[in-house]
Amino acid sequence: MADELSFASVVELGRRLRTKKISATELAEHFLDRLERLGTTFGAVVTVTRGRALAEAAAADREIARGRWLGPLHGIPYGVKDLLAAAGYPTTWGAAPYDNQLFADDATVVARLKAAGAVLVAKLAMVELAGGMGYNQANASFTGPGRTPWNPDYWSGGSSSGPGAAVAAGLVPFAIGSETSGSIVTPAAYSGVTGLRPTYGLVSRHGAMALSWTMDKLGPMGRSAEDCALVLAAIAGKDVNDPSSVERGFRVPHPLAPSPRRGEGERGGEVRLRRKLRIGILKNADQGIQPEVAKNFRDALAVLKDVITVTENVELPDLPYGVVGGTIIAVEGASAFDDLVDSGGVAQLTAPEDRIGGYAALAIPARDYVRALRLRRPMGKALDAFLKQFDAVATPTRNTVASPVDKPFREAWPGVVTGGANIIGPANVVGVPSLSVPNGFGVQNLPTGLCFTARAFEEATLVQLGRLYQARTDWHKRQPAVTA
Amino acid sequence: MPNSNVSREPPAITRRAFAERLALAAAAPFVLGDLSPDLTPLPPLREAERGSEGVRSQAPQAEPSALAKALAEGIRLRYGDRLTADDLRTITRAIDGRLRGAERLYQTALSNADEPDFVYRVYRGE
Repeated sequence: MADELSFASVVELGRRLRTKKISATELAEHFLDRLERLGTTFGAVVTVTRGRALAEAAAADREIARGRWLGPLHGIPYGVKDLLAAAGYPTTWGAAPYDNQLFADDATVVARLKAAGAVLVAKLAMVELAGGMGYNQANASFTGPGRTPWNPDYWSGGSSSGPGAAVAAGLVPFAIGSETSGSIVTPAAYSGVTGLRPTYGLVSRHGAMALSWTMDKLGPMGRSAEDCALVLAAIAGKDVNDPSSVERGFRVPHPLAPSPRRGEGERGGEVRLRRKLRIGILKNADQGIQPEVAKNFRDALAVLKDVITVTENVELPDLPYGVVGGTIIAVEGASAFDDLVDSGGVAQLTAPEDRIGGYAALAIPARDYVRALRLRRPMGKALDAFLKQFDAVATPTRNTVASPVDKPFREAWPGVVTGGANIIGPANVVGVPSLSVPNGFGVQNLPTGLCFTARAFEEATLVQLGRLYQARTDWHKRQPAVTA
Repeated sequence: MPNSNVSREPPAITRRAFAERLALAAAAPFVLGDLSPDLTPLPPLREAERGSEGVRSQAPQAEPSALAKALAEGIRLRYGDRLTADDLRTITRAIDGRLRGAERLYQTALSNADEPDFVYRVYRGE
């Protein structure tokens, strides 16, 4: 019973709740217990929100008993990266200088999940300040490094290190992470879970720590694309408190029929593919990277061969994504944490490089920042025109498996990676969505990820691709050997 | 009508541009936000220039430019009381790397009508 709950999907837990096989309170207790027993083992937890969780679970039980069903997240426990405000609990941003920081109100995402009946059980660990000071090692949080449950000597990824580790270890059914450039999809890959980074603006950032106002995104991490879609549907949409949020929300797409050859249109609640999905493969995507990662990538594409057509060796428009993104993040981050740098509070950060990382950004000319912002629109248009040719572009999420927790990143896999194709940076600069799903294991029993990236607001396409892949594989159902 | 035409760089990347990418990689901790050095969002390098992490780690530590040193001096004047000599050397190298990388910002042509990608909205209360 216990492990069936710990690693059950949101869909399965919802079924148990609806059929009264378990109560929301019992479910909350189960995950609270696991968080308290195992949270520190994986460096996954900052605060277990027991009091709030039990109150929200009791409320869910009352509602369910009255026959008032709020939807698929009603009574489901979850955790949030500790950069999201939750009234009554510290919001630490993963950083010692903020370890007692309190906010009066919930972040919009937390409020929306509460409205959907979900039960907040934990504030989850993260890289300090979401990595904004330039960390170069896993040990960059005042709660210590996040550890992947598949091999705790290795990192769970960052900066959403806690959400990745907690979902993978069965400490929460789903979590909310954030990504400025890589911070959802990377921990999803390193932890062997599914992560969905939405289009910029689809999910309100109100109540979330700002690293880069124009690049920060919040999104779900969970057991499957299906679960991520259910969560995204609950949190997406316009918020008057976040001017960058957009009117369009997200609706979970109808399930797909198993094969495109069986017809077209919609029947019996299933959508049949009208055609195979067009997938672009970036040039060098599987060249010069860790061999196991490359093999898992090709194996994953082979699994989907009946539902996709592949175009090999496609190339992104040659534009300075790295410099633009780097300049924007550095300047906006320097401004967002101006008081911390100016006061010398950065000296309290955990990673030595983070203690001085904020100073160099102070020397970036305003001219460069504005130039970067001006380049972004033509860059977005060029990348949109590129992505428009496909339903999605596929890449390995990361070129290697996770780094050891005791080494700087650059020493993790020396000489292993000489190639690969990077889409995390370009996609984040222009704000288009990606989905990472687990697609196997590499060295040291560490998971690898398959990443799909699509045009803005094509999350439904990504979810369908994730569903298609996860209907054909069981990587997302594998469980690490987690013991107390 | 805003002119948003993108003037692409020539297909063959110049030696200088390549050097800038290496310099940017060297400055990764300071310009990549939550990207660790191995998460570097560099533009894809052409095959002949590949080396990725391997090349980056072999990139020579060139003497920082005079401009980088001058900018770092500004940091020292303001915050020198809390920074060690090693800290200032690291900061100077970071500034130098960023300056080299930032030249790429100016290799893509923009017109006068290409505005920053944000819109100021006038505020009027209730």
